[in-house]
Amino acid sequence: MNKINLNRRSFLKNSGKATGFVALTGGAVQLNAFNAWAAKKSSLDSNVAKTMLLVSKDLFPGNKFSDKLYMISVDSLDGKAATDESLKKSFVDGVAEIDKAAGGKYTKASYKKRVTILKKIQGKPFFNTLRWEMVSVFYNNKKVWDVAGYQGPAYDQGGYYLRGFQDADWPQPSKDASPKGWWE
Amino acid sequence: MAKKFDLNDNSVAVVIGSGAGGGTLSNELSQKGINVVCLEAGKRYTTDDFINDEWSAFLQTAWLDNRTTSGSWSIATNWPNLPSWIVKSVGGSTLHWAGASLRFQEHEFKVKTEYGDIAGANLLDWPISLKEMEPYYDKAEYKIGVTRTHGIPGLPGNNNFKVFYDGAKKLGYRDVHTGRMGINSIPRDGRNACLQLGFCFQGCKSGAKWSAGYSEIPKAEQTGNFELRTEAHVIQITHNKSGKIDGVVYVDKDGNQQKQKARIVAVAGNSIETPRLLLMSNSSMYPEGLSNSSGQVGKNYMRHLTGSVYALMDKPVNFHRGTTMAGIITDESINDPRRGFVGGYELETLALGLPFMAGFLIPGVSGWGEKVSNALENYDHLAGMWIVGEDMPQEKNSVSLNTDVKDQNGMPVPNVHFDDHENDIKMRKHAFGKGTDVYKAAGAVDVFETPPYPSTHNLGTCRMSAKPRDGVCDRNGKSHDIANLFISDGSQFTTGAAENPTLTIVSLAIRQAEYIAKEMSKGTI
Repeated sequence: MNKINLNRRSFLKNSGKATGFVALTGGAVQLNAFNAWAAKKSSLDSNVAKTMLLVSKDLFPGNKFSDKLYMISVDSLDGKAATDESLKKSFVDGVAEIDKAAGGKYTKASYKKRVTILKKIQGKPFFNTLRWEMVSVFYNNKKVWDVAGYQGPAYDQGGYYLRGFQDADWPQPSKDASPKGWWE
Repeated sequence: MAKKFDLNDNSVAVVIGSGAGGGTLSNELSQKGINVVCLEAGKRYTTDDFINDEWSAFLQTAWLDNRTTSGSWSIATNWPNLPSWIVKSVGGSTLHWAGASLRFQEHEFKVKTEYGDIAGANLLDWPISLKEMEPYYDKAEYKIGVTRTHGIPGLPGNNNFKVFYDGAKKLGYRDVHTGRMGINSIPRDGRNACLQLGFCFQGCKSGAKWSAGYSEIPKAEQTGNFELRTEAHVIQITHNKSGKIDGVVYVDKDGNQQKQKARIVAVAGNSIETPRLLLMSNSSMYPEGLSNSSGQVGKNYMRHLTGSVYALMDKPVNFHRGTTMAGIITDESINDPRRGFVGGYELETLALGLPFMAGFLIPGVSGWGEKVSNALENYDHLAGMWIVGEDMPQEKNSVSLNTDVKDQNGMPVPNVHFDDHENDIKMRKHAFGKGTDVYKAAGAVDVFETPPYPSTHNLGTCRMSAKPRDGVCDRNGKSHDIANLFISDGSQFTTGAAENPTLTIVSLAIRQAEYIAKEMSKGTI
C-alpha cells in the first residue's frame, strides 16, 4: 500500500536536488498578438476574439499578467467554438450585445464604462462562460501559477518540507504550538 | 484474505459506504469475526492514483451525481447542483478530509439542556454523554493516530500557521497550536510521516493522513471475513413480511441490478445519501420510507455554519506549502451567549491552490473584478482560515426526494434545502470579525470574508434520540423502528457541535461495532 520506506535524511537531501520553480521570463506581449490571429486556424474572427480578450482582462485585471497569458482563456474558448456552432454563435452574439451597450465598440469604451456593462450582463451565459473559462482554465495554467507564485504539486520533489514550508517572514511560533518535525 | 460472499448468503452484515463510518464499522466488525459485505458506490484508488492537481482530483473523486438545492443559503445560488463536496470512492470523504480530529465538548452532547429553547431550532440532547464517549474517542484517536494524543507529537506548523499564530497571539488567544490531526507526525501504523505535500483534500499521496480507504479496508480484508464491492451503488434496502431488513438492491459497475441478502444492514452513505436511501426504500409496510415513523428521516440537516477568511498579507506567505489545515484557535468554541448567539466555533487554517482560490475566493458569478483579481495575482501573499461552527438543527432544513429529476439509475435525486438560522448568521458574523482581526493584527492589507463552500460536514439527517418520536435511531445508531437496521455515519448526529465530525463518526462506529457484535452473539439481531 504505502511503499515509501526510506531514510529520511537521504531522501530529503536527494529529492531536494530536483528543482520545481521556474520563473516566467518576458511578459511584454501585447494586443498585437492579434496580428497573427487571422492567419492561424481560429474559429472566431479577430474582433470577437479581441473583445473576448478584453472582457477576460476586465473580469480579472492584473498588473503582472501579460496579454499573452490572457490569451490562454481566449484560445481555449476558440478551440471549443471550433466544434460547437451554438457556442460560437453565443460568442458572436455576446460581443454584439456588449458592443451595442457600449454604443459602438466595447474595445473602444473606457474601463469604467466596460465594468458597468459587465455588471449588467453578470450571470448571463456569455458572461458566465468567459468568467468560468478564466477560473477553470486560466488560473489552472502553470504559466499563470508561475506569475502568481503558486508552485503546485511537490510530491515528486519530496514535499514542501525542505522547500520553504516555514520560511514566511513571521515570528516562529512556540515549540508547544508548533513542534519540530520528525524529519529534523 | 479478501473473501467472496454469495448474494444469497443471508448471514452477512451489509455495510453501505466505506468512509469514516462504513469503513471503520466494516473493519471493526470483521476483526470481531463477523462476516461483512461492504458496498461502495465509488471506485478504489490507491495513494499512487491520487492526483496532486485540484480540478483533476475533484473530477476523479468527488461525488458528482446530480443533486438539487433550495432555500436561502448561498450554496443554492452559487453551486445549485453541488450542495456538498464529498467523495465517491473507497474511503469516502476520509480521502478528502483535512485531518482535524477534535472531541466534542461535554455541553455539546446536551445542547437542549444547555442552550434552552431556541425559536426555530429543533434542539435535542444526545442520548449519549461525553463520559460514555470518552473510551471510544480514545480508541478512535489511537486508531487514527491523532497528533497530541497517545504521546504522538504535534505537527510542525507551516507558513499559513505562522501568520495565523502571530495574529492570534497579538489578539490574546490562548489555545492556538497545530491542532489534533489525523496526519502522522511520526511514521506509524505502516504509514509515513507527513512530508508537507499540501493537497490533503486530493488524497494524501504519502499516506501520512489517515483514510479509511487505505487504513481500515485493507485490515478488514486481511481478516478473511470481509468483502468489498466497488462501484456497487445501493438503490434500495428491502425487508421481509415481518418488517425486518432482509437485503439490499444495488446497481453494479455494469449497470445491472443485484440483490444481496443480509442479516443486518448498516447505512453509511453520508448525510445526503443515507436519508435518501431510506426514503427511496419505501414500501406498502413503510410508505414514508424506512425507519421514518417519526417523520424525521432527512430532517434537521446540518452542515456547520462555515465560512472562510482570506487575507492578502504585506509579505509573501506561500500558504500552499504544507498541510491544508495546519492549525487551530479553539478559544471561540465555548458556549458564551453574551456574544449574541449560543454555541461556538473553531478557527482552523486553510489553504487552497490557485485553481480553487479562483473558484472559491468569491464563489459564484460575482467573483470577478479588481479586488479578487489582485488577490489571485498575489497568490503567494495570501493567508487563510476556515470557520467551523455549530449550526442549529431545523426541521425545515432537509434532504428529500426530488421526483422530477432522476439520476443515472433512474432514481429520484436528493434535494437539499437549507436556510441559515438567525443564530448561524450571528455566529458567522462574529467569526468573520474575529478572523479579520487575526489577519489585521498580523499585517493584512486586504481581507475577504468568503461565504460557505459546498458542504463537507453533512450531518443530522437520521439523528439519534432517546425517544423514538424525536429521531430516527437510538443511542447505538439502531433504527427505532427496525431492529436490524443501523445508521453508521454523521447522519446520526443529534446536533453538530463546533468540531469537525470525523473523529466522532469513527468513535461511534467503533462503539456501534461492539454493540452489534454483542447483540449478534446474544441472537437478538
